Amino acid sequence: MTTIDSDAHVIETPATWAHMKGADLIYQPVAVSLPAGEVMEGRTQRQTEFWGIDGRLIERERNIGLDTERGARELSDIERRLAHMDELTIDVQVLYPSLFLRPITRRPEAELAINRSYNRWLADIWKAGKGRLRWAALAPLLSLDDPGLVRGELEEAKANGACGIFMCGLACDRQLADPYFFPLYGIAEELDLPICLHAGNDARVVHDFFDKADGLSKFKFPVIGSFHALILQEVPARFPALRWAFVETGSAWLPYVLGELGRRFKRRGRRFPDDPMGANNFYVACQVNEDIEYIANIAGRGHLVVGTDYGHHDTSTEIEAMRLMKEKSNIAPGLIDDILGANAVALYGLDPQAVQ
Amino acid sequence: MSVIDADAHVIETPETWSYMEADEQAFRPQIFERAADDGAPRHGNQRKEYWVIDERLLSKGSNVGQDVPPDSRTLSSIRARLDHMDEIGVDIAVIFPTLFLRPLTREHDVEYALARAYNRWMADIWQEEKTRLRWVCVPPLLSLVDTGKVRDELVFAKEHGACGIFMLGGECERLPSHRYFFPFYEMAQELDLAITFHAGVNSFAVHDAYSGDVAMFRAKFPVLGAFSMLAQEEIPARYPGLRWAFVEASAQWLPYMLGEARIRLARRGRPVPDDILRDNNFYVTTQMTDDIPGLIAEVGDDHLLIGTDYGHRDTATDIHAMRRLAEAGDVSAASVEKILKTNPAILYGLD
Repeated sequence: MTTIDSDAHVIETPATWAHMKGADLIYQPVAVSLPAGEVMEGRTQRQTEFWGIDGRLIERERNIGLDTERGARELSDIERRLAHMDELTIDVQVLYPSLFLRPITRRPEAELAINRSYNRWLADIWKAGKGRLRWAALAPLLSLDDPGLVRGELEEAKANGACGIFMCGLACDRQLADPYFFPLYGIAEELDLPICLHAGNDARVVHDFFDKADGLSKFKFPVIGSFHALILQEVPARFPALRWAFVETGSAWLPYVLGELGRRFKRRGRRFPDDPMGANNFYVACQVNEDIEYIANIAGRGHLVVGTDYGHHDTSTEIEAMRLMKEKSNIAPGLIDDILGANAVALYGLDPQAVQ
Repeated sequence: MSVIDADAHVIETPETWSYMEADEQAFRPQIFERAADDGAPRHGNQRKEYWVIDERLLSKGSNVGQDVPPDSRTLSSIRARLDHMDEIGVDIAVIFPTLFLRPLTREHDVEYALARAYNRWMADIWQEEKTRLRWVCVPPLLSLVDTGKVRDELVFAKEHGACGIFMLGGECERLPSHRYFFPFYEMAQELDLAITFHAGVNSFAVHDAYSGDVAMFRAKFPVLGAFSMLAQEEIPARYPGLRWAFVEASAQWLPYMLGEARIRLARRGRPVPDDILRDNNFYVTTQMTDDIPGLIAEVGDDHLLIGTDYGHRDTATDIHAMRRLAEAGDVSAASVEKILKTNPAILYGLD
């Protein structure tokens, strides 16, 4: 059985920005830190290292999974990462960024330079990864007034191992059902790359409002809200071949949100699909601590995937998720195999032969 | 014991603002009508009338239940409301506001005038029916720098039939776990008034960021967020006598949120209560569209309530909810008794 980790991470380092050249260099993130022993005013957690990007200070060492080796999580030692994947019984990982889970910049030229360098860095990692390290690309979303530019970036990413397009639950200070993003969705559909909504928030006002809140309101609710808004506004129907993923928010909210959607469709005199996940090509990453069989009965067994959140250290992190899933005994036969393998293959458009 | 509708509403009218003082008249909400010949396109849910408060245009009548008599939902006829309550099997209705479910103003004096008028209006309604019409008062939270002023308002409300305090998941552009609210929670505890987080948000930042959203993020998620933040930051432990309610967001989210809370508390090395609802004095309104037997299996039946959302017309509205729960058949009679009677009586401190 093929085992695909549908949500793993890489931690950005100065090497991430090594692909910046020429005029892009003025946007290069700078690594800054507090003198040893000093704590930043107003922070409850000890935090001394930051990225300085476009005038904003962004925490660097937060949410780091210290149960992984530095070279493996930063992918400076790819062989170590692959060996650790072997230990964890993972065949393929789909890599998501870490820094980009929050607002980075509002300047299109800065975003383009930073995202391009990240994508080139991941392309190099993919080349060295023996087909086992796939990744979600960063689209230069602030440049969507130039779809050709965005398309070119995504074509190159796809040619270099990308199997999805990363988005936060809110992006460019907009909701994801905003028509602003329709050109992106059209491009994604044409390129056969799923839109992967990862826990995160790229809306500065909302992010800052929830600054002192837990990650649930700040990072997860935007994704769940987008799930709701995309279906309600029937955005997926405009892009019928496009697949969508909802990652690192758990899946126990599905009964609640699907119930809400059903009622809203009814109120509007519209028919709610019997299989809303299938009808919209939606996939949701579940967690081992959830009642997976109950959720699968409601959401459909073909639309759940699972990830380790490798490299992080938050409420979704379970480095042993794959093994724990395989050990679950009270679940319908085949369901776990689908979650670990077939569903992820379908979502990310992977070649079943190549991932064996 | 009485059947208690834990979430009913009143629709504000110009009468509501007639209680404003002479020096508050500049703040008085006014009704504006849209011109029929303005030439602008008309969208599906667009209204003909608007409230104007503090120079902001607020749609009027966008969530009004047409399945109840007009004079009953505005409480202009208390007899009509009581007759309708008899018809739908409700003994006591706990009444929440309507207009205050969204941000209205950033000015403390405007907010104070609005809250004060609303509370006096509801006090007069209660004077006419003291047993069956109870209500949650609107606190002037922007005035919390003057705790005496806020306290006086709450004392007045309590003496005039209020059995809870209305709050939204985001107030004064702050999260409910913010220390700004701690003196307020202290007062609520002293006065034995439950804090009730109702669907909605009173943050212009969040409200405006989700301007196109139907209600999920602007209305429901703030309630879930309040539940999560209070539990994780162990705020209820500071006020052990205070009761908290989470209203009109359904209860189907409880398994998800309780799972998240357990993980987050454990990660912080904090004790994880066996029963988060019980240990925090949390009460949650459920709906007939929830999997109520499943919820009871997961969280028990001591902290669930149910309401009709009387006077509104949204995904939580079910005018016959009380009767339908009693007749559902898949919930035990003992659990029905708790949800309809015992639990709301405890939450709202009703005799």
